[in-house]
Amino acid sequence: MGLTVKVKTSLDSGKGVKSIYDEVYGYIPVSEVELKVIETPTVQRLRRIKQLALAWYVYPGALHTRFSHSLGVMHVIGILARKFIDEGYVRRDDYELLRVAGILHDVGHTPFSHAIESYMTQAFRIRHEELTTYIIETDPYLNEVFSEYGINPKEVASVIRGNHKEPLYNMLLSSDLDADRIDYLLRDSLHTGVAYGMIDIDRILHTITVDKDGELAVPSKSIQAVENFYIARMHMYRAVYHHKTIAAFQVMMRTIYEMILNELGDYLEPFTTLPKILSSIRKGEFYLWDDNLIAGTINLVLVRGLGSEVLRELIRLLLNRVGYKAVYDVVKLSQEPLSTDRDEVVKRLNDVVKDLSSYVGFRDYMTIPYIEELNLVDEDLCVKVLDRNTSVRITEYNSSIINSIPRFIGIIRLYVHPNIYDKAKEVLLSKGII
Amino acid sequence: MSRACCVVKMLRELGIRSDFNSFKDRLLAQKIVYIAQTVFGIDFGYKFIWHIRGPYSKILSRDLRVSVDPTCRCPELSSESLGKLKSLINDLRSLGNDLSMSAEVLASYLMLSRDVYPRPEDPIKELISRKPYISYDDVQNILKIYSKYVV
Repeated sequence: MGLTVKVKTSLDSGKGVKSIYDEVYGYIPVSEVELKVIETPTVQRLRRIKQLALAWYVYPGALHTRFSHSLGVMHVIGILARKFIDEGYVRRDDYELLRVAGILHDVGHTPFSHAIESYMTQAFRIRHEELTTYIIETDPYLNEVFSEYGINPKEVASVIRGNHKEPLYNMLLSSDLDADRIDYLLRDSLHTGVAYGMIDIDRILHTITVDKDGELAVPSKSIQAVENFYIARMHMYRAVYHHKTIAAFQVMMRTIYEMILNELGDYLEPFTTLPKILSSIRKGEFYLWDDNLIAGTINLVLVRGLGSEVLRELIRLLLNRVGYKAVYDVVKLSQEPLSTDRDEVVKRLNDVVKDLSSYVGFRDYMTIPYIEELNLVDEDLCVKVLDRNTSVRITEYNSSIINSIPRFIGIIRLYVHPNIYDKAKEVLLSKGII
Repeated sequence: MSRACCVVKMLRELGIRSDFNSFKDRLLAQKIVYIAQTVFGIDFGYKFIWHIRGPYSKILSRDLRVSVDPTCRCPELSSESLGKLKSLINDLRSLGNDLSMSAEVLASYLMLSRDVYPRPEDPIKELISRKPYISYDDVQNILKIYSKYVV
């Protein structure tokens, strides 16, 4: 694709000590300090974590990594920063700070991205964003580079955490139209081949500005590009990020990961508990916690005949692309968020799980509820539209199609082990649930 | 889910509208929850980013819209802390300014003083420079009220 973004700025690039060819933007110039950050084991680790975990089971080309995405975010945030420096909204001295935050915004991602992160969130109540900022503040490799180049790790972390003193800097990584989303939509769309994710990045990056309130805004002539951005995200959510089959394999991967931790935890040391993970970060060992470690352990379990037969059977299924099956699948488009304790569909799902668990031979790992939600438009942090000296949120702009699209998409599914799919379907049919 | 319910319950007890259809209502709710967490230790566990209009939590924004079970139990809402918060809100109301503006000023001041990085040398000056619609006197009056509640 080689999409080239040309923004005329006084901080023009081309001064990098190196250029890295990127499949989305073409050559990305990299400065000396950025190169040093990229060369740390902590960032190199991202080459060994796939951006979309197991999406390649459905889209064979989806093999791109967190590394290329991070470079892309650095590039996009750099374009925005250069533009806003010219317009007087970003301090010239902070250009490198923002680009480095872009490279590092995902360093805390778990192996297999969201597949294993869901376990971390449930077991340890921690998300990758929190690991990311911990890494930035304590990782020995990064901190050596930061010391050498006078970069304050707390300030880099604050941009990612969203508590930097300059609210605009936080918006560049944490708002409806931020550098992270711009890059992942383009990149994931390219690698999956799902065309709905394509966005008019040229128009967005050329026309985006800051309104009198200090918030991100586009002129009304660019509204279609922004509307398309929101709609692309909605489509990618269903077609890729929560695709029924992809999610089934990710649920299976998470189940396998948990079983290995319980049965064969030694093989995943020192990454089995939160204190050990944090310690590995401080000791400079975190770079070893990657997709390869998990995938290698999974193979080893079969090769050596380790663990329980249930675990080995699940691994055989995963490796041979036989995933869990969705026996119940509802997508809800709504103006309201999903209420997990009042929603009728969720209640029915819980009843189904209870019903199924009473059947002989059904075990916990065989029935996995899956409830996900996308907040498509943040009413308060959405993009604003500039029109005749006024600036209004796109959700309040009369002629925008965003007024007519749902604010929330809820996905409610029940995945079951393939061995019990027929029986589960029979039970659900007999109860009139499907 | 109980978190969302408890937030809505708290806001109702404080006499704050709970339909949150307008930006102003949502802004007020965001700032009150931030103040409840940081000043009165009513820990809902929301994480806030620093936005141009003060502390903001995307998850809270979502939770304010969710349909909740009004019978939820909320152990984090002790009558003592809720009483103090109610008293602070009433004192802010007594200033005669729009409550959402007063809550925005106080919450923003608190976040600038403790959660923002790099921390500004003078949070009040920083606050006024970022919010041209508020006056120095307004800030002083609001902080005078706040000082009564600082432990």
